[in-house]
Amino acid sequence: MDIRAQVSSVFHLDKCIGCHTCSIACKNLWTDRRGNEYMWWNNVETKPGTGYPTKWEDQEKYNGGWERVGTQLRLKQGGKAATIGKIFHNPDLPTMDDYYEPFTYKYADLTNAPAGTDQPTARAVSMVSGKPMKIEAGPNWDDDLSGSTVYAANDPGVIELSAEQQQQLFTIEKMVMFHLPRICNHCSNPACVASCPSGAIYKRGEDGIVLINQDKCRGWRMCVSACPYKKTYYGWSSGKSEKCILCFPRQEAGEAPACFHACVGRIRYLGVLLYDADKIEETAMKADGELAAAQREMILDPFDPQVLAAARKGGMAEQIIKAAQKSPVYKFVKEWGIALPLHPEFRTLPMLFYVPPLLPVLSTEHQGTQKLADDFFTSLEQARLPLMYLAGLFAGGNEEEVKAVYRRLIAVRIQRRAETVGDMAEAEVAKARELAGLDSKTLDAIYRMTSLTRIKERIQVPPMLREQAVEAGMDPEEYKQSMGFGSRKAPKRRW
Amino acid sequence: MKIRGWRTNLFRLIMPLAFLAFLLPGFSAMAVEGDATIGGQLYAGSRPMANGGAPCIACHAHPGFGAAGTASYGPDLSNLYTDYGAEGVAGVLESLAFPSMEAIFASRPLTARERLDLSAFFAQTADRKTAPAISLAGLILLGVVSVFAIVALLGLRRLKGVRQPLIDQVRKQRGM
Ligand code: SF4
Ligand code: SF4
Repeated sequence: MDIRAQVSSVFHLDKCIGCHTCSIACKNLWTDRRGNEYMWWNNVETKPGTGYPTKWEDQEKYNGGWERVGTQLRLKQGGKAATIGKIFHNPDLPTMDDYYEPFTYKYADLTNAPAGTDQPTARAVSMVSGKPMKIEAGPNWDDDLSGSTVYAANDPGVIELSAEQQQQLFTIEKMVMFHLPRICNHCSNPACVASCPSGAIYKRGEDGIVLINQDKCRGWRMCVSACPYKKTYYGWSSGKSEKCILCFPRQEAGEAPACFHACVGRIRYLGVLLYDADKIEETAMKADGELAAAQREMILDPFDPQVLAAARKGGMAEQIIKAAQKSPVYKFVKEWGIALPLHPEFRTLPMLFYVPPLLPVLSTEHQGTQKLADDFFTSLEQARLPLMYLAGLFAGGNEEEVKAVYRRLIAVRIQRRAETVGDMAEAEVAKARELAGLDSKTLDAIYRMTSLTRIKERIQVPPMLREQAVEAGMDPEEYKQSMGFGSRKAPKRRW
Repeated sequence: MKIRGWRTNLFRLIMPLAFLAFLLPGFSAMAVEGDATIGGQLYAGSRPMANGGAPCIACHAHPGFGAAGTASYGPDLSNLYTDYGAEGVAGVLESLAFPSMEAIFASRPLTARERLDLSAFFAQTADRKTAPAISLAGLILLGVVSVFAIVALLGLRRLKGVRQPLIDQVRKQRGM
């Protein structure tokens, strides 16, 4: 056993209102620089939809993530030899149009235009060429199903569905959607790290945050194509690649990451998970449908004395163990089993988990009022958002995984309804509990965590002990002056 | 090298002698003719010199070894036999009295047998006047150019834009 700690998160999709506050918080903090206009470390897309960059999920096109070759795990874009072969022309990179051409408006024209009979207008200009442009795409162009004949219809997950299931999704009056906020998953088997020819990307030992060393990065952009989630971006002014840093400087000061802190829907949970690093390869080799379960298996119980003994032997700090015991993420993923990884079949073992959305599933024939527990579960199959679609997103196509989550979420609702409205027979509630496999106390805990908790409970930033670690190695004052995200030095030549 | 050697007149002359050598054991030891094949091997270094001397190819150019035989530290030996004849070559090989060669061969002289074999090799290849068609530098240049060509060809397979084709497809469907 090789126990590692991972700062991990859960996004509860039922609660996301698609306000993009998270994206803006992140943009203002980290990517509001020239050459970085197009990059959104946090973006929110509408599902069904092709997302940002267009069709990022389609690895036939982008060749991201891992694949199994015999008994080996291999980067889909090819091994070391292929990387060298493609080093001056990586054929798998998204084009600017697939992200979008960044633009602004000539606002000054509004006030400086000479007097005339027309209202002055602010024309759109490209932030790349400075010339007037027609805006045809954006990071959330398919927001709320806009342009869905193009974007929703071409969602790789939708294309997989049968004609009947597509019909179900797209019947005009019944059209359904949900929002999917995405940041870097800080994967435990990160394809970006494996692909970097300069060795510039690393996963921090103490908290599993994946970072790109700006001094070492040589701008090869292999990580951009290797990350199946397209969450590394090339900075056109700095000549280096950048990605979500999970706001590690904020976390080191005990603050929540900016997108977590800003989230209006309070959908974001953060906490430490303990996992067995020896199991990574074995887990990533599992069949598509088994990956979600295998990943859960890899995550360990922070109360298990054996796990704790191994963690302590590996030098894990007591504070981190304590944080892992309080982690809401552990509850969502392991104890309650209601959070699943996004596209586990990319085999990067993403460490960000999603509670799949129940709402568009439930608001079917009965206008949201449910009769019998039995009905609930049979109606699941006829849900407007086909289970197969959700299984394609969150469980490598394994519908049973998604169904299990929904049984639990529905049981929470039935129990709450029995308690607050009182129109449910006790037998119904008991049946729901039985189907969910959770007791009444747990269902209550889920209800509390998903609707009543305050930020300090939802977001458990572990003490990262950076200061102490620095002190051990160098003068903290000197460290403070020489470190930081903004430092940029010429790379050390190795010849 | 060997096959082309068949074409030379000299070699046709040697052949009957070699046949005799085969028939009469002991004759070869007395023979004044060396073995051109062995000579070639000594020249190219695939057969070491008995006393540890360096193979000729290390410093001298000679046709018949392709681009590998274009070393230019010493003079080109293509015309050695034509210019000096059999005796001249034998004399040179015996003393090797050139400053840079002396340093190597004074303490590691060629044996009599080696001199004979090398002479035979030079005699046999005397009519190969053509300098190597392509030098090593040329080969490297060719390699670099072809690598770039392959890279450019592969580049044609670049990921075409993903979004624009989706739009075009819908426009086409609607006949816009
Ligand atoms: S989501 Fe992409 S960038 Fe983030 S760790 Fe995983 S592979 Fe790397
Ligand atoms: S801030 Fe929260 S609610 Fe708003 S879009 Fe982002 S994740 Fe969703």
